[in-house]
Amino acid sequence: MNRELPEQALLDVYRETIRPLYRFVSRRVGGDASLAEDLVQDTWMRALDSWPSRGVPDEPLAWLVRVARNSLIDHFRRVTPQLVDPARLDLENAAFSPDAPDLASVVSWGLARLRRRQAGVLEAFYFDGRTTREIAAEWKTTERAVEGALRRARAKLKKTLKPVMRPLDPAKRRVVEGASHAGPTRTL
Amino acid sequence: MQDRHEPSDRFVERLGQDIGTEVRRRNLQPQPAPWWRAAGLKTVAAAAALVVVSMAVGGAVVAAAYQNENREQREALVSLYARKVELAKVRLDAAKQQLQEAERRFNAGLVSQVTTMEQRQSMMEADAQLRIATLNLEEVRITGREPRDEVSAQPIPQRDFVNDRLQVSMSIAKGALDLEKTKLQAAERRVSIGLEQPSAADALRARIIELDAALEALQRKIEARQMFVANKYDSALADLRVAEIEAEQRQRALKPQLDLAKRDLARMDSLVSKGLASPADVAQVRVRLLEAELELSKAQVELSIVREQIAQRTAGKGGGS
Repeated sequence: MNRELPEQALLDVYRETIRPLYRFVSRRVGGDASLAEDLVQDTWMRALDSWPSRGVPDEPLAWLVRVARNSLIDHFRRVTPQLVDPARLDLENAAFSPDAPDLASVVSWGLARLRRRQAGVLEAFYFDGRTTREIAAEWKTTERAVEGALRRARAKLKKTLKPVMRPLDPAKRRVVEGASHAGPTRTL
Repeated sequence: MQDRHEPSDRFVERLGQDIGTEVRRRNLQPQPAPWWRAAGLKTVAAAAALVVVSMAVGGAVVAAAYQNENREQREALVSLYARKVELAKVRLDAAKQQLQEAERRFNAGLVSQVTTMEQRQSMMEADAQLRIATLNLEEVRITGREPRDEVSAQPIPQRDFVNDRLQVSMSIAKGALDLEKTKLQAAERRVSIGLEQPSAADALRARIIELDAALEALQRKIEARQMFVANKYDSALADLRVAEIEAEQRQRALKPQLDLAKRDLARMDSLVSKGLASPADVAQVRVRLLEAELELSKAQVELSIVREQIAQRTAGKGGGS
C-alpha cells in the first residue's frame, strides 16, 4: 500500500546520508564527479519509488549503499574499460590504491564480474581502505581467513582483468590515450 | 582543497531540492483507496477471475509490467512523440514537394538525373524517419517509457520495435547505396572523357564501401537481436556482439579512406614536383592520412578488446556464438 512520504523526515535522512553515500560511490568511480552524481541521484530516485510502499528502512544508509552498489555493478557491466598497463595496476603491492579514475574504473569493472563475497572483500580493502583486522571484525572471522579470502579474490580479479591489463606498445599507447579524452570508460 | 570524494555543496543542495519537489509532487497525487475493503466478495471473485483469464491470454504480462508507470509522465511522453510524428509528416510533405519540383526541372532539362535521384532519396529518408517516429510513438504508448534502441532491450510481448527500427534503417541505407552507385557510374563516365579528376570517383567508391559496411552491420545487428530474443545471447553478450559489429564496420569503412588518402598524397607529391601544388597542400593531405591511420589503429584495438571479452564470455558459458 502506498503511504504519504513525510517530506521533512525524508530530507533529514537525506542530509544524514548524502555525504557517506557519495563517498562510497565516488571512491568506486575514482572521483569521476559527474558519474558519481548520476549514480547517487539514481539511488535516491529508487528510494523515492520504494519507500512509500515499504516504509523508510531502519538503516537508510545501508539500504542506499546496497542500491548504489547494484547501480555501480549495472553500470560497470555495461561499459568497456580502456587498456591498463600492469605496471600501474599492481594489486599485490600494499601501497596500491585505485584512486585514479581510470584505475578505479578498471577495478570496478572487474569487481562487477566477481561473486558478491569476493568483490566485497576487495572493495573493503581497496576502496574503503580497511585493514584485514577491521574486515575480520566486521565479518566476525579471523584475520587469517580474511587474508585467504583476499588472496583468492585478488587472483580471481587478476584473471578477470587479464584482457585489459597489458603493456602497450608506443603506437597503441598513443591511440588509447587519444581515446581516453572521452572519459575513462565507453558505454557500449 | 576539497576532498574529491566529497560531494560539492551545489550538488547536495540541488539534489535535496529535487527530492523535496519530487516528494511534494508524489504526495499531491491522489492515494488509491483500498479497493478490496469497499468491494464485496462477488466483486473480488469476479476481479480474480478476470485476472486469471487475462493472465491466460498473456495480457496481464503487459499490464503487470507497466501498471506502475506514472500516468502523467506517460502522457507527457506520448504527447512529445506525437509531436515528433507531426514534425516528420511536415518534413515528408516538404521533401515530396521538392521532389516534384526537381522532376519538373529535370523534364525541362534544367538539372541532371542525379539531382532528381538525390531528391528522391531525401524523400525516402523522410518517409523512413516518419515510420521510425511512428514506431517510437507506438512503443511509448505501450510502455510509457522512452523508446529503447539497444539490441539487448527487453522485447515487448508480440512486438519487437528494436527489430522494426533496424529494418527501417536498412531501407534508408539501401536507398543511399543505390544513389551513390548511380553517382559513381556518372562520375566514371565524366572521368573517362576527362571532365572530372579520378579522385572524384575514388571518393565515391570509398563512400560506397562505407555504406556497404553500414548495411552489413545493420543486417548483423538484426541477427544479434534475433539471437537475444531467442535467448541464445544474454544481454551482455548481445551488447558485446554489437560492439564487435560496430568496430568491424568502422574498420571496414576506414580502410578505403586510408587508401584514398595514400593515393591523394602520391598525386599531390607528383603535382608538387611539377610545380602545380605547394608543400602546404602536401602537409594537409599527410595530416589526413595520419588521422585515417590513427582511427584505423583505434578501431583495431577496440575490436581486439571486444573479441577477447566475447571469447572469455563464450568460453565461460560454453557457447553463445
